[in-house]
Amino acid sequence: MEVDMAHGASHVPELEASPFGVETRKLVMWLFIIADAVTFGVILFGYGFLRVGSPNWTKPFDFAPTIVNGMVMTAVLLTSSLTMLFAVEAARAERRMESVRWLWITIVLGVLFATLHLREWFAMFREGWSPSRNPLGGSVMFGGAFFGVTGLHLLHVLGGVVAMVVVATKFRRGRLQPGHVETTGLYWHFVDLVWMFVFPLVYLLNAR
Amino acid sequence: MTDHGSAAGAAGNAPSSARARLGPRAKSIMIWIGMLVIVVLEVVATYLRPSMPALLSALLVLAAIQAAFALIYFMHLRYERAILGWSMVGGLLFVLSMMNQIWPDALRVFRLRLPGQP
Repeated sequence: MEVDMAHGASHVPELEASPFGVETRKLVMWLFIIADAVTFGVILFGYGFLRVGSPNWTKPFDFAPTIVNGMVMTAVLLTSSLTMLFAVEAARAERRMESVRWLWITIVLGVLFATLHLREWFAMFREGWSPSRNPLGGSVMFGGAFFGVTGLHLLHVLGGVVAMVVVATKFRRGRLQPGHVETTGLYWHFVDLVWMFVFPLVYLLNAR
Repeated sequence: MTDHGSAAGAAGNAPSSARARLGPRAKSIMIWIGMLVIVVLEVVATYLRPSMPALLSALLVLAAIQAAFALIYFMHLRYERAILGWSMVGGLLFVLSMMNQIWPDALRVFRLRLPGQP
């Protein structure tokens, strides 16, 4: 940045406008989302490969409690996307405290989702499931595929919760801009979007 | 940029600003309800017990509709320049469609036989 000392004014060189018309941080988040979507795509295709190629694939999930639990988890995650939308909308409209409140509601819903998920995992562990063990006697690949896909998603949820805590705290203190809330929102909606494929492909296709 | 400042300034026209807020929120809530309905449809489709290819197709179509709603309305892709959507989503769809090349190999597993096996 050049500073005109004589006039005390700064002359910022005019930058060429972004062809995408978005802030750099938002573009970078989109690039991350696309890269992450490819990661989930690879893992879901790998799961599909194992499922198609295993003649003794196991379908272990009963309507209650597993599918019902999955529906509740989906509803919780969808609701958290809605509250995140409200947080972004309030941040854009300069209603900082309202935005922070919606962010904290989203965080609570994210923690609730993770708790429901872990509760289901531990119930499966108690039944003898593990990434390399199938207590029902079918393909042992089921455990690896199930815990791999859902575990990667759960890591994303936990990462998102941590990111939202940091953003909510700093945004409340005025250290971050509304654009930061919007970028975090993009990530959170992506986590929700991935679950829209995980629930039908990993849970419903394996329902008894 | 605090709530106190904006609240003081907006005190006179609070009802109109509340109305202005209701529009996009009502739309977002409608989309959220629509996505919940799709989840219920997915579960109903599963327990109608169709053939596996039919169920897989139905679930993928419903999930794609949900994903489109999330991208367009929740991630605000409809408000961005078209080139952003085409570059990002178009590129992703191309990569995912290329991954489809693995299926013949998965099906080959069924035809594999040990030496001497009929």
